[in-house]
Amino acid sequence: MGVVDGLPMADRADDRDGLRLDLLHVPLGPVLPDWPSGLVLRLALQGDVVQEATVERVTAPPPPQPPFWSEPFLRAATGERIPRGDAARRLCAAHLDSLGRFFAVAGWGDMAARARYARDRALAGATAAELSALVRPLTRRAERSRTLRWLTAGLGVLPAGHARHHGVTGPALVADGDAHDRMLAWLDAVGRSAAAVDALEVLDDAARAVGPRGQVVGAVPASQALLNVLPGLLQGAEFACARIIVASLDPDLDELNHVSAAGMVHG
Amino acid sequence: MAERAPLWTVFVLPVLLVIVALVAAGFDAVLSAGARSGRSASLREAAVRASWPGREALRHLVQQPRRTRASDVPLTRIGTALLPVAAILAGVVLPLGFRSVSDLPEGIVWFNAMESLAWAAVWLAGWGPNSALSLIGGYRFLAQGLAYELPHMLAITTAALGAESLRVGEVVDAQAGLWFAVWMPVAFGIYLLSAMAMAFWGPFDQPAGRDVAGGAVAELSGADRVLFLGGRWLLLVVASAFSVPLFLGGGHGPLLPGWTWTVLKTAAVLTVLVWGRRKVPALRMERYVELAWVVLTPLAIVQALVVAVVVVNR
Repeated sequence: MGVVDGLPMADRADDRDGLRLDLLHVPLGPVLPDWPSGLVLRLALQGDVVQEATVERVTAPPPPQPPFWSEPFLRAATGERIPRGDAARRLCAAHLDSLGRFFAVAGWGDMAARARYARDRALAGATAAELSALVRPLTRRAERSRTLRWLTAGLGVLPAGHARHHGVTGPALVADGDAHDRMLAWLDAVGRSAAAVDALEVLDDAARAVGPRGQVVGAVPASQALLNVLPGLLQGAEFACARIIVASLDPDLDELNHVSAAGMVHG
Repeated sequence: MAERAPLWTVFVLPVLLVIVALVAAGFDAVLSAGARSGRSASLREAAVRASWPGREALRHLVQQPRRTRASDVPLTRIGTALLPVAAILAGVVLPLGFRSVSDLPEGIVWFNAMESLAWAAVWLAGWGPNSALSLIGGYRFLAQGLAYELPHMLAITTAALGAESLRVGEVVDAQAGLWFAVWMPVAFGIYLLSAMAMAFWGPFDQPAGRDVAGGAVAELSGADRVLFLGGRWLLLVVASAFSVPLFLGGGHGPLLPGWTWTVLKTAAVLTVLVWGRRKVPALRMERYVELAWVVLTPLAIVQALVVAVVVVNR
Protein backbone atom coordinates (compact mmCIF):
# COMPACT_ATOMS: atom_id res chain seq x y z
CA MET A 1 0.00 0.00 0.00
CA GLY A 2 1.48 3.36 -1.03
CA VAL A 3 1.68 6.15 1.48
CA VAL A 4 1.28 9.83 0.62
CA ASP A 5 1.78 12.45 3.29
CA GLY A 6 1.56 9.80 5.97
CA LEU A 7 -1.82 8.60 4.73
CA PRO A 8 -2.41 5.22 3.05
CA MET A 9 -3.48 5.33 -0.59
CA ALA A 10 -6.18 3.16 -2.10
CA ASP A 11 -5.08 -0.29 -3.30
CA ARG A 12 -6.55 -2.22 -6.13
CA ALA A 13 -8.23 -5.57 -5.73
CA ASP A 14 -10.74 -7.81 -7.49
CA ASP A 15 -14.35 -7.02 -6.73
CA ARG A 16 -17.28 -9.41 -6.74
CA ASP A 17 -17.78 -9.01 -10.48
CA GLY A 18 -14.18 -9.86 -11.27
CA LEU A 19 -13.14 -6.29 -12.00
CA ARG A 20 -10.05 -4.69 -10.50
CA LEU A 21 -11.17 -1.65 -8.52
CA ASP A 22 -9.78 0.70 -5.93
CA LEU A 23 -9.85 -0.74 -2.46
CA LEU A 24 -9.91 1.69 0.41
CA HIS A 25 -9.31 0.67 4.00
CA VAL A 26 -11.49 2.72 6.30
CA PRO A 27 -11.81 2.20 10.02
CA LEU A 28 -15.21 3.01 11.51
CA GLY A 29 -15.45 3.94 15.17
CA PRO A 30 -14.70 3.96 18.03
CA VAL A 31 -16.18 7.47 18.03
CA LEU A 32 -18.79 8.08 15.36
CA PRO A 33 -22.22 9.55 15.90
CA ASP A 34 -24.82 6.86 16.68
CA TRP A 35 -22.23 4.11 16.86
CA PRO A 36 -21.93 1.40 19.54
CA SER A 37 -19.24 2.98 21.67
CA GLY A 38 -15.91 1.22 21.75
CA LEU A 39 -16.51 -0.77 18.58
CA VAL A 40 -13.99 -0.53 15.75
CA LEU A 41 -14.88 -1.96 12.34
CA ARG A 42 -12.09 -2.19 9.80
CA LEU A 43 -13.74 -2.00 6.41
CA ALA A 44 -12.32 -2.67 2.99
CA LEU A 45 -14.45 -0.49 0.73
CA GLN A 46 -14.72 -0.57 -3.04
CA GLY A 47 -16.61 2.56 -3.92
CA ASP A 48 -19.19 2.52 -1.17
CA VAL A 49 -19.57 -1.27 -1.04
CA VAL A 50 -18.13 -3.19 1.90
CA GLN A 51 -15.95 -6.03 0.60
CA GLU A 52 -14.68 -7.15 3.94
CA ALA A 53 -15.21 -6.22 7.54
CA THR A 54 -13.31 -7.21 10.63
CA VAL A 55 -14.36 -6.44 14.17
CA GLU A 56 -12.00 -4.99 16.75
CA ARG A 57 -12.71 -3.29 19.99
CA VAL A 58 -11.06 -0.71 22.08
CA THR A 59 -9.54 -2.40 25.06
CA ALA A 60 -10.58 -0.35 28.01
CA PRO A 61 -9.71 -0.89 31.64
CA PRO A 62 -12.46 -3.03 33.19
CA PRO A 63 -15.18 -0.79 34.55
CA PRO A 64 -15.89 -0.99 38.27
CA GLN A 65 -19.63 -1.41 37.85
CA PRO A 66 -21.56 -4.01 35.81
CA PRO A 67 -22.76 -2.97 32.31
CA PHE A 68 -25.56 -0.47 32.77
CA TRP A 69 -28.20 -1.88 30.44
CA SER A 70 -28.11 -5.48 31.67
CA GLU A 71 -27.36 -4.68 35.31
CA PRO A 72 -30.73 -5.64 36.87
CA PHE A 73 -30.72 -8.90 34.94
CA LEU A 74 -27.17 -9.74 36.02
CA ARG A 75 -28.08 -9.04 39.62
CA ALA A 76 -31.21 -11.17 39.33
CA ALA A 77 -29.13 -13.96 37.85
CA THR A 78 -26.98 -14.04 40.96
CA GLY A 79 -30.11 -14.61 43.02
CA GLU A 80 -30.89 -11.07 44.10
CA ARG A 81 -34.60 -10.21 44.35
CA ILE A 82 -35.27 -7.57 41.69
CA PRO A 83 -38.77 -6.09 41.21
CA ARG A 84 -40.18 -6.92 37.78
CA GLY A 85 -40.88 -3.21 37.16
CA ASP A 86 -37.24 -2.22 37.61
CA ALA A 87 -36.08 -4.78 35.09
CA ALA A 88 -38.83 -3.75 32.65
CA ARG A 89 -37.84 -0.09 33.03
CA ARG A 90 -34.21 -0.83 32.20
CA LEU A 91 -35.16 -3.07 29.28
CA CYS A 92 -37.54 -0.43 27.91
CA ALA A 93 -34.88 2.29 28.16
CA ALA A 94 -32.22 0.04 26.62
CA HIS A 95 -34.35 -0.70 23.57
CA LEU A 96 -35.35 2.96 23.23
CA ASP A 97 -31.64 3.79 23.27
CA SER A 98 -31.04 1.26 20.49
CA LEU A 99 -34.02 2.58 18.55
CA GLY A 100 -32.63 6.11 18.86
CA ARG A 101 -29.42 4.97 17.18
CA PHE A 102 -31.32 3.01 14.55
CA PHE A 103 -33.57 5.93 13.59
CA ALA A 104 -30.66 8.36 13.56
CA VAL A 105 -28.68 6.14 11.20
CA ALA A 106 -31.75 5.71 9.00
CA GLY A 107 -31.79 9.52 8.71
CA TRP A 108 -34.95 10.01 10.76
CA GLY A 109 -33.73 12.60 13.25
CA ASP A 110 -37.17 13.45 14.55
CA MET A 111 -37.96 9.88 15.59
CA ALA A 112 -34.47 9.44 17.02
CA ALA A 113 -35.00 12.50 19.22
CA ARG A 114 -38.40 11.23 20.36
CA ALA A 115 -37.04 7.77 21.19
CA ARG A 116 -34.25 9.34 23.23
CA TYR A 117 -36.66 11.62 25.04
CA ALA A 118 -38.78 8.59 25.97
CA ARG A 119 -35.61 6.78 27.10
CA ASP A 120 -34.67 9.66 29.37
CA ARG A 121 -38.19 9.79 30.80
CA ALA A 122 -38.07 6.03 31.44
CA LEU A 123 -34.79 6.33 33.33
CA ALA A 124 -36.08 9.36 35.22
CA GLY A 125 -38.82 7.22 36.68
CA ALA A 126 -41.88 7.96 34.55
CA THR A 127 -45.01 5.97 35.39
CA ALA A 128 -46.35 3.24 33.12
CA ALA A 129 -49.13 5.55 31.95
CA GLU A 130 -46.80 8.39 31.00
CA LEU A 131 -44.31 6.09 29.34
CA SER A 132 -46.96 4.25 27.36
CA ALA A 133 -48.35 7.57 26.16
CA LEU A 134 -44.87 8.52 24.93
CA VAL A 135 -44.12 5.16 23.36
CA ARG A 136 -47.43 4.47 21.62
CA PRO A 137 -47.23 7.21 18.93
CA LEU A 138 -43.60 6.32 18.38
CA THR A 139 -44.43 2.68 17.74
CA ARG A 140 -47.37 3.56 15.53
CA ARG A 141 -45.32 5.88 13.33
CA ALA A 142 -42.42 3.46 12.97
CA GLU A 143 -44.65 0.46 12.26
CA ARG A 144 -46.77 2.31 9.72
CA SER A 145 -43.94 4.02 7.86
CA ARG A 146 -43.80 2.46 4.41
CA THR A 147 -40.69 4.48 3.62
CA LEU A 148 -38.86 3.01 6.59
CA ARG A 149 -39.89 -0.48 5.53
CA TRP A 150 -38.78 0.22 1.95
CA LEU A 151 -35.40 1.46 3.20
CA THR A 152 -34.56 -1.11 5.86
CA ALA A 153 -36.23 -4.35 4.74
CA GLY A 154 -33.89 -6.98 3.35
CA LEU A 155 -30.79 -5.60 5.10
CA GLY A 156 -28.67 -7.93 7.22
CA VAL A 157 -30.97 -10.95 7.04
CA LEU A 158 -30.31 -13.18 10.05
CA PRO A 159 -32.51 -16.30 10.05
CA ALA A 160 -33.21 -17.80 13.47
CA GLY A 161 -31.33 -21.01 12.63
CA HIS A 162 -28.19 -19.15 11.67
CA ALA A 163 -28.52 -16.88 14.71
CA ARG A 164 -28.91 -19.81 17.11
CA HIS A 165 -25.90 -21.50 15.55
CA HIS A 166 -23.78 -18.47 16.48
CA GLY A 167 -25.20 -18.28 19.97
CA VAL A 168 -27.31 -15.18 19.38
CA THR A 169 -30.12 -14.81 21.89
CA GLY A 170 -32.55 -11.99 22.66
CA PRO A 171 -34.33 -9.69 20.19
CA ALA A 172 -32.09 -10.49 17.21
CA LEU A 173 -33.07 -14.16 17.55
CA VAL A 174 -36.74 -13.41 18.20
CA ALA A 175 -36.91 -11.13 15.14
CA ASP A 176 -35.79 -13.96 12.82
CA GLY A 177 -35.24 -11.68 9.85
CA ASP A 178 -33.80 -8.41 8.57
CA ALA A 179 -33.01 -5.02 10.10
CA HIS A 180 -36.65 -3.97 9.85
CA ASP A 181 -37.80 -7.10 11.71
CA ARG A 182 -35.29 -6.44 14.47
CA MET A 183 -36.64 -2.91 14.83
CA LEU A 184 -40.17 -4.32 15.09
CA ALA A 185 -38.99 -6.74 17.77
CA TRP A 186 -37.58 -3.83 19.78
CA LEU A 187 -40.78 -1.81 19.36
CA ASP A 188 -42.82 -4.76 20.54
CA ALA A 189 -40.62 -5.27 23.62
CA VAL A 190 -40.66 -1.52 24.36
CA GLY A 191 -44.45 -1.43 24.29
CA ARG A 192 -44.77 -4.41 26.62
CA SER A 193 -42.12 -3.33 29.09
CA ALA A 194 -43.39 0.26 29.18
CA ALA A 195 -46.69 -1.08 30.47
CA ALA A 196 -44.90 -3.10 33.16
CA VAL A 197 -42.62 -0.48 34.73
CA ASP A 198 -44.83 -0.15 37.81
CA ALA A 199 -44.94 -3.90 38.60
CA LEU A 200 -43.69 -4.68 42.09
CA GLU A 201 -43.54 -8.48 42.20
CA VAL A 202 -40.16 -10.18 41.98
CA LEU A 203 -38.69 -11.04 38.58
CA ASP A 204 -39.44 -14.68 37.82
CA ASP A 205 -36.92 -17.22 36.60
CA ALA A 206 -37.92 -17.17 32.95
CA ALA A 207 -37.46 -13.40 32.54
CA ARG A 208 -34.47 -13.27 34.84
CA ALA A 209 -31.77 -14.35 32.46
CA VAL A 210 -32.71 -12.42 29.31
CA GLY A 211 -31.41 -8.86 29.16
CA PRO A 212 -31.76 -6.28 26.38
CA ARG A 213 -29.18 -8.04 24.16
CA GLY A 214 -29.99 -11.61 25.16
CA GLN A 215 -28.89 -14.17 27.74
CA VAL A 216 -26.88 -12.59 30.53
CA VAL A 217 -25.55 -15.88 31.83
CA GLY A 218 -23.63 -18.27 29.61
CA ALA A 219 -20.23 -18.90 28.12
CA VAL A 220 -20.47 -16.13 25.48
CA PRO A 221 -21.90 -12.71 26.35
CA ALA A 222 -24.93 -11.83 24.23
CA SER A 223 -23.15 -8.93 22.56
CA GLN A 224 -20.16 -11.10 21.64
CA ALA A 225 -22.51 -13.37 19.70
CA LEU A 226 -23.86 -10.30 17.87
CA LEU A 227 -20.30 -9.24 17.01
CA ASN A 228 -19.60 -12.73 15.70
CA VAL A 229 -22.38 -12.61 13.13
CA LEU A 230 -21.72 -8.99 12.15
CA PRO A 231 -18.88 -9.38 9.55
CA GLY A 232 -20.87 -11.95 7.59
CA LEU A 233 -23.89 -9.67 7.43
CA LEU A 234 -21.82 -6.67 6.32
CA GLN A 235 -20.14 -8.31 3.34
CA GLY A 236 -21.41 -6.78 0.10
CA ALA A 237 -23.50 -4.14 1.84
CA GLU A 238 -23.56 -0.55 0.67
CA PHE A 239 -22.12 1.92 3.21
CA ALA A 240 -25.48 3.26 4.42
CA CYS A 241 -26.85 -0.30 4.61
CA ALA A 242 -23.82 -1.34 6.65
CA ARG A 243 -24.54 1.41 9.17
CA ILE A 244 -28.18 0.32 9.39
CA ILE A 245 -27.14 -3.32 9.92
CA VAL A 246 -24.75 -2.38 12.74
CA ALA A 247 -27.43 -0.21 14.35
CA SER A 248 -30.04 -2.95 14.06
CA LEU A 249 -27.84 -5.38 16.03
CA ASP A 250 -26.50 -2.70 18.38
CA PRO A 251 -24.01 -4.75 20.41
CA ASP A 252 -23.22 -3.36 23.85
CA LEU A 253 -19.44 -3.54 24.32
CA ASP A 254 -19.72 -2.93 28.04
CA GLU A 255 -20.97 -6.50 28.36
CA LEU A 256 -17.70 -7.79 26.90
CA ASN A 257 -15.55 -5.68 29.19
CA HIS A 258 -17.52 -6.86 32.18
CA VAL A 259 -16.91 -10.50 31.39
CA SER A 260 -13.18 -10.01 30.94
CA ALA A 261 -13.15 -8.10 34.22
CA ALA A 262 -14.98 -10.90 36.00
CA GLY A 263 -12.53 -13.37 34.45
CA MET A 264 -9.63 -11.38 35.84
CA VAL A 265 -11.08 -11.33 39.31
CA HIS A 266 -11.66 -15.06 39.37
CA GLY A 267 -8.51 -16.04 37.50
CA MET B 1 -44.56 41.03 -17.48
CA ALA B 2 -42.58 41.73 -14.34
CA GLU B 3 -41.07 45.15 -13.82
CA ARG B 4 -37.42 45.62 -13.27
CA ALA B 5 -36.79 46.62 -9.65
CA PRO B 6 -34.46 49.57 -8.88
CA LEU B 7 -30.73 48.96 -8.54
CA TRP B 8 -30.60 49.04 -4.74
CA THR B 9 -32.63 45.82 -4.59
CA VAL B 10 -29.44 44.02 -5.64
CA PHE B 11 -28.16 44.68 -2.15
CA VAL B 12 -31.46 44.03 -0.42
CA LEU B 13 -31.93 40.58 -1.98
CA PRO B 14 -29.17 38.73 -0.08
CA VAL B 15 -30.21 40.35 3.20
CA LEU B 16 -33.83 39.40 2.64
CA LEU B 17 -32.90 35.82 1.74
CA VAL B 18 -30.71 35.47 4.83
CA ILE B 19 -33.53 36.74 7.06
CA VAL B 20 -36.02 34.28 5.58
CA ALA B 21 -33.46 31.48 5.93
CA LEU B 22 -32.88 32.37 9.60
CA VAL B 23 -36.61 32.38 10.29
CA ALA B 24 -37.02 29.00 8.57
CA ALA B 25 -34.03 27.55 10.43
CA GLY B 26 -35.45 28.92 13.69
CA PHE B 27 -38.79 27.24 12.99
CA ASP B 28 -36.94 24.00 12.31
CA ALA B 29 -34.96 24.39 15.53
CA VAL B 30 -38.18 24.80 17.53
CA LEU B 31 -39.58 21.61 16.01
CA SER B 32 -36.32 19.73 16.67
CA ALA B 33 -36.12 20.86 20.27
CA GLY B 34 -39.75 19.83 20.72
CA ALA B 35 -38.94 16.29 19.59
CA ARG B 36 -35.80 16.21 21.73
CA SER B 37 -37.16 17.42 25.04
CA GLY B 38 -40.91 17.88 24.82
CA ARG B 39 -43.00 20.92 23.98
CA SER B 40 -41.64 24.27 25.14
CA ALA B 41 -43.17 25.38 28.42
CA SER B 42 -43.26 29.11 27.72
CA LEU B 43 -43.04 31.58 24.88
CA ARG B 44 -39.66 32.64 26.22
CA GLU B 45 -38.32 29.11 25.97
CA ALA B 46 -39.64 28.84 22.40
CA ALA B 47 -37.82 32.06 21.51
CA VAL B 48 -34.59 30.72 22.98
CA ARG B 49 -35.01 27.55 20.96
CA ALA B 50 -35.74 29.52 17.79
CA SER B 51 -32.56 31.55 18.19
CA TRP B 52 -30.44 28.39 18.24
CA PRO B 53 -29.33 28.52 14.56
CA GLY B 54 -28.17 32.12 14.96
CA ARG B 55 -26.27 31.36 18.14
CA GLU B 56 -24.77 28.25 16.56
CA ALA B 57 -23.57 30.29 13.57
CA LEU B 58 -21.89 32.81 15.89
CA ARG B 59 -20.30 30.02 17.89
CA HIS B 60 -18.77 28.53 14.74
CA LEU B 61 -17.49 31.92 13.66
CA VAL B 62 -15.48 32.42 16.83
CA GLN B 63 -14.38 28.79 17.05
CA GLN B 64 -10.84 27.73 16.20
CA PRO B 65 -11.12 26.08 12.77
CA ARG B 66 -9.63 22.62 12.40
CA ARG B 67 -8.11 21.15 9.28
CA THR B 68 -7.61 17.58 8.11
CA ARG B 69 -4.25 16.15 7.05
CA ALA B 70 -3.30 16.75 3.40
CA SER B 71 -6.55 18.54 2.65
CA ASP B 72 -7.01 20.61 -0.48
CA VAL B 73 -7.80 23.97 1.06
CA PRO B 74 -8.58 25.99 -2.13
CA LEU B 75 -11.00 23.32 -3.36
CA THR B 76 -12.80 23.19 -0.03
CA ARG B 77 -13.00 26.98 0.15
CA ILE B 78 -14.36 27.28 -3.39
CA GLY B 79 -16.92 24.58 -2.65
CA THR B 80 -18.17 26.14 0.57
CA ALA B 81 -18.33 29.69 -0.79
CA LEU B 82 -20.03 28.57 -4.01
CA LEU B 83 -23.13 27.24 -2.26
CA PRO B 84 -24.50 30.54 -0.87
CA VAL B 85 -23.35 32.40 -3.99
CA ALA B 86 -25.25 29.99 -6.22
CA ALA B 87 -28.36 30.37 -4.06
CA ILE B 88 -28.30 34.18 -4.20
CA LEU B 89 -27.59 34.25 -7.94
CA ALA B 90 -30.54 31.92 -8.50
CA GLY B 91 -32.64 34.33 -6.41
CA VAL B 92 -31.99 37.18 -8.86
CA VAL B 93 -34.87 36.10 -11.11
CA LEU B 94 -37.29 35.60 -8.19
CA PRO B 95 -40.17 38.08 -8.48
CA LEU B 96 -41.42 39.60 -5.24
CA GLY B 97 -44.96 40.33 -6.27
CA PHE B 98 -44.36 41.39 -9.86
CA ARG B 99 -40.87 42.82 -9.48
CA SER B 100 -37.62 40.94 -9.63
CA VAL B 101 -34.05 42.13 -9.48
CA SER B 102 -33.67 41.06 -13.08
CA ASP B 103 -36.39 39.55 -15.24
CA LEU B 104 -34.08 37.89 -17.74
CA PRO B 105 -35.68 36.71 -20.99
CA GLU B 106 -34.44 33.19 -20.18
CA GLY B 107 -34.85 33.45 -16.41
CA ILE B 108 -35.88 29.81 -15.94
CA VAL B 109 -32.69 28.61 -17.62
CA TRP B 110 -30.68 31.00 -15.46
CA PHE B 111 -32.29 29.61 -12.31
CA ASN B 112 -31.60 26.05 -13.33
CA ALA B 113 -28.00 26.84 -14.26
CA MET B 114 -27.32 28.55 -10.93
CA GLU B 115 -28.80 25.79 -8.84
CA SER B 116 -26.68 23.29 -10.77
CA LEU B 117 -23.64 25.05 -9.29
CA ALA B 118 -24.63 23.33 -6.05
CA TRP B 119 -23.41 20.07 -7.60
CA ALA B 120 -19.92 21.44 -7.94
CA ALA B 121 -20.10 23.08 -4.52
CA VAL B 122 -21.07 19.96 -2.55
CA TRP B 123 -18.73 17.75 -4.52
CA LEU B 124 -15.74 20.07 -3.96
CA ALA B 125 -16.55 20.48 -0.27
CA GLY B 126 -16.77 16.69 0.05
CA TRP B 127 -13.61 15.96 -1.94
CA GLY B 128 -11.40 18.73 -0.57
CA PRO B 129 -10.85 17.69 3.06
CA ASN B 130 -9.33 14.31 2.09
CA SER B 131 -11.60 12.34 4.37
CA ALA B 132 -13.48 9.15 3.53
CA LEU B 133 -16.75 10.19 5.16
CA SER B 134 -16.99 13.58 3.46
CA LEU B 135 -16.00 11.94 0.18
CA ILE B 136 -18.92 9.52 0.52
CA GLY B 137 -21.16 12.54 1.14
CA GLY B 138 -19.91 14.15 -2.08
CA TYR B 139 -20.46 10.95 -4.06
CA ARG B 140 -23.94 10.60 -2.67
CA PHE B 141 -24.83 14.11 -3.76
CA LEU B 142 -23.65 13.43 -7.30
CA ALA B 143 -25.80 10.30 -7.45
CA GLN B 144 -28.70 12.31 -6.05
CA GLY B 145 -28.07 15.15 -8.49
CA LEU B 146 -28.08 12.83 -11.48
CA ALA B 147 -31.33 11.32 -10.27
CA TYR B 148 -33.24 14.49 -9.37
CA GLU B 149 -32.08 16.82 -12.11
CA LEU B 150 -33.85 15.21 -15.06
CA PRO B 151 -37.36 15.08 -13.53
CA HIS B 152 -36.66 18.55 -12.10
CA MET B 153 -35.78 20.04 -15.49
CA LEU B 154 -38.84 18.41 -17.05
CA ALA B 155 -41.01 19.89 -14.29
CA ILE B 156 -39.80 23.47 -14.74
CA THR B 157 -39.89 23.06 -18.53
CA THR B 158 -43.54 22.09 -18.16
CA ALA B 159 -44.27 25.40 -16.44
CA ALA B 160 -42.38 27.29 -19.17
CA LEU B 161 -44.32 25.31 -21.77
CA GLY B 162 -47.64 26.26 -20.16
CA ALA B 163 -46.69 29.95 -20.35
CA GLU B 164 -44.94 29.60 -23.73
CA SER B 165 -42.04 31.63 -22.34
CA LEU B 166 -38.83 31.18 -20.39
CA ARG B 167 -39.28 34.61 -18.79
CA VAL B 168 -40.34 34.21 -15.17
CA GLY B 169 -42.54 37.32 -15.35
CA GLU B 170 -44.53 35.86 -18.24
CA VAL B 171 -44.95 32.55 -16.41
CA VAL B 172 -46.54 34.54 -13.57
CA ASP B 173 -48.76 36.48 -16.00
CA ALA B 174 -49.96 33.24 -17.58
CA GLN B 175 -51.35 32.20 -14.17
CA ALA B 176 -53.61 35.24 -13.71
CA GLY B 177 -56.65 32.99 -14.13
CA LEU B 178 -55.59 29.52 -13.08
CA TRP B 179 -52.51 28.46 -11.13
CA PHE B 180 -50.27 25.98 -12.86
CA ALA B 181 -50.28 23.82 -9.75
CA VAL B 182 -53.94 23.07 -10.46
CA TRP B 183 -53.54 21.67 -13.94
CA MET B 184 -49.92 20.47 -13.64
CA PRO B 185 -50.06 18.76 -10.25
CA VAL B 186 -47.47 16.11 -11.15
CA ALA B 187 -44.94 18.72 -12.26
CA PHE B 188 -45.60 20.69 -9.08
CA GLY B 189 -45.10 17.64 -6.87
CA ILE B 190 -41.89 16.70 -8.67
CA TYR B 191 -40.68 20.28 -8.36
CA LEU B 192 -41.21 20.25 -4.59
CA LEU B 193 -39.35 16.94 -4.26
CA SER B 194 -36.45 18.20 -6.33
CA ALA B 195 -36.41 21.51 -4.44
CA MET B 196 -35.64 19.49 -1.32
CA ALA B 197 -33.14 17.30 -3.19
CA MET B 198 -31.35 20.37 -4.53
CA ALA B 199 -30.78 21.67 -1.01
CA PHE B 200 -30.05 18.08 0.17
CA TRP B 201 -32.78 18.60 2.67
CA GLY B 202 -35.61 16.43 3.95
CA PRO B 203 -35.63 12.81 2.85
CA PHE B 204 -32.76 13.78 0.55
CA ASP B 205 -30.27 14.79 3.23
CA GLN B 206 -28.20 11.65 2.88
CA PRO B 207 -25.20 13.55 1.42
CA ALA B 208 -25.01 15.25 4.83
CA GLY B 209 -26.30 12.18 6.68
CA ARG B 210 -25.68 11.31 10.32
CA ASP B 211 -24.42 7.88 9.26
CA VAL B 212 -21.39 9.49 7.59
CA ALA B 213 -20.93 11.97 10.45
CA GLY B 214 -22.38 14.80 8.37
CA GLY B 215 -20.89 13.61 5.06
CA ALA B 216 -19.97 16.55 2.85
CA VAL B 217 -20.20 18.79 5.92
CA ALA B 218 -18.25 16.45 8.22
CA GLU B 219 -14.87 18.17 8.10
CA LEU B 220 -16.00 21.78 7.72
CA SER B 221 -15.47 24.05 10.69
CA GLY B 222 -15.54 27.71 11.54
CA ALA B 223 -16.63 30.18 8.87
CA ASP B 224 -16.57 27.45 6.21
CA ARG B 225 -19.23 25.54 8.07
CA VAL B 226 -21.42 28.60 8.54
CA LEU B 227 -21.13 29.46 4.84
CA PHE B 228 -21.92 25.94 3.71
CA LEU B 229 -24.80 25.18 6.04
CA GLY B 230 -26.16 28.70 5.61
CA GLY B 231 -25.88 28.27 1.85
CA ARG B 232 -27.90 25.11 2.14
CA TRP B 233 -30.70 26.98 3.91
CA LEU B 234 -30.52 29.75 1.31
CA LEU B 235 -30.86 27.15 -1.45
CA LEU B 236 -33.88 25.66 0.27
CA VAL B 237 -35.46 29.10 0.63
CA VAL B 238 -34.77 30.09 -2.98
CA ALA B 239 -35.92 26.74 -4.37
CA SER B 240 -39.18 26.81 -2.44
CA ALA B 241 -39.72 30.50 -3.22
CA PHE B 242 -39.32 29.74 -6.91
CA SER B 243 -42.22 27.31 -6.79
CA VAL B 244 -44.47 30.36 -6.22
CA PRO B 245 -43.93 32.10 -9.62
CA LEU B 246 -43.66 28.72 -11.36
CA PHE B 247 -46.75 26.95 -10.06
CA LEU B 248 -48.60 28.99 -7.44
CA GLY B 249 -49.52 32.08 -9.41
CA GLY B 250 -46.73 34.35 -8.14
CA GLY B 251 -48.16 37.61 -6.81
CA HIS B 252 -51.69 36.94 -8.06
CA GLY B 253 -54.34 36.92 -5.37
CA PRO B 254 -57.34 38.89 -4.16
CA LEU B 255 -57.28 42.06 -1.97
CA LEU B 256 -53.67 42.06 -0.77
CA PRO B 257 -50.82 43.58 -2.79
CA GLY B 258 -48.73 41.25 -4.92
CA TRP B 259 -45.65 41.09 -2.71
CA THR B 260 -47.65 39.92 0.32
CA TRP B 261 -49.05 37.05 -1.70
CA THR B 262 -45.55 36.04 -2.73
CA VAL B 263 -44.40 36.15 0.88
CA LEU B 264 -47.42 34.21 2.16
CA LYS B 265 -47.17 31.52 -0.49
CA THR B 266 -43.42 31.15 0.02
CA ALA B 267 -43.94 30.85 3.76
CA ALA B 268 -46.56 28.16 3.19
CA VAL B 269 -44.29 26.12 0.91
CA LEU B 270 -41.33 26.49 3.28
CA THR B 271 -43.46 25.42 6.24
CA VAL B 272 -44.59 22.31 4.41
CA LEU B 273 -41.02 21.40 3.47
CA VAL B 274 -39.55 22.05 6.93
CA TRP B 275 -42.39 20.36 8.78
CA GLY B 276 -42.75 17.49 6.31
CA ARG B 277 -39.08 16.62 6.72
CA ARG B 278 -39.83 15.22 10.17
CA LYS B 279 -42.29 12.66 8.84
CA VAL B 280 -39.93 10.49 6.83
CA PRO B 281 -36.49 8.90 7.13
CA ALA B 282 -33.74 9.80 4.65
CA LEU B 283 -33.95 8.06 1.29
CA ARG B 284 -31.03 5.77 0.61
CA MET B 285 -29.40 6.83 -2.63
CA GLU B 286 -29.49 3.55 -4.51
CA ARG B 287 -33.20 3.26 -3.80
CA TYR B 288 -33.95 6.84 -4.79
CA VAL B 289 -32.04 6.57 -8.07
CA GLU B 290 -34.27 3.65 -9.01
CA LEU B 291 -37.42 5.61 -8.14
CA ALA B 292 -36.25 8.68 -10.04
CA TRP B 293 -35.50 6.85 -13.27
CA VAL B 294 -38.31 4.32 -13.28
CA VAL B 295 -41.19 6.37 -11.85
CA LEU B 296 -40.52 10.11 -11.66
CA THR B 297 -38.93 10.70 -15.06
CA PRO B 298 -41.68 8.93 -17.07
CA LEU B 299 -44.34 10.72 -14.99
CA ALA B 300 -42.71 14.09 -15.70
CA ILE B 301 -42.58 13.30 -19.43
CA VAL B 302 -46.28 12.38 -19.50
CA GLN B 303 -47.11 15.60 -17.64
CA ALA B 304 -45.11 17.65 -20.14
CA LEU B 305 -46.88 15.86 -22.99
CA VAL B 306 -50.33 16.66 -21.57
CA VAL B 307 -49.42 20.33 -21.17
CA ALA B 308 -47.94 20.45 -24.69
CA VAL B 309 -51.15 19.04 -26.17
CA VAL B 310 -53.25 21.60 -24.27
CA VAL B 311 -51.02 24.48 -25.37
CA VAL B 312 -51.04 23.41 -29.04
CA ASN B 313 -54.85 23.16 -29.08
CA ARG B 314 -55.36 26.49 -27.35
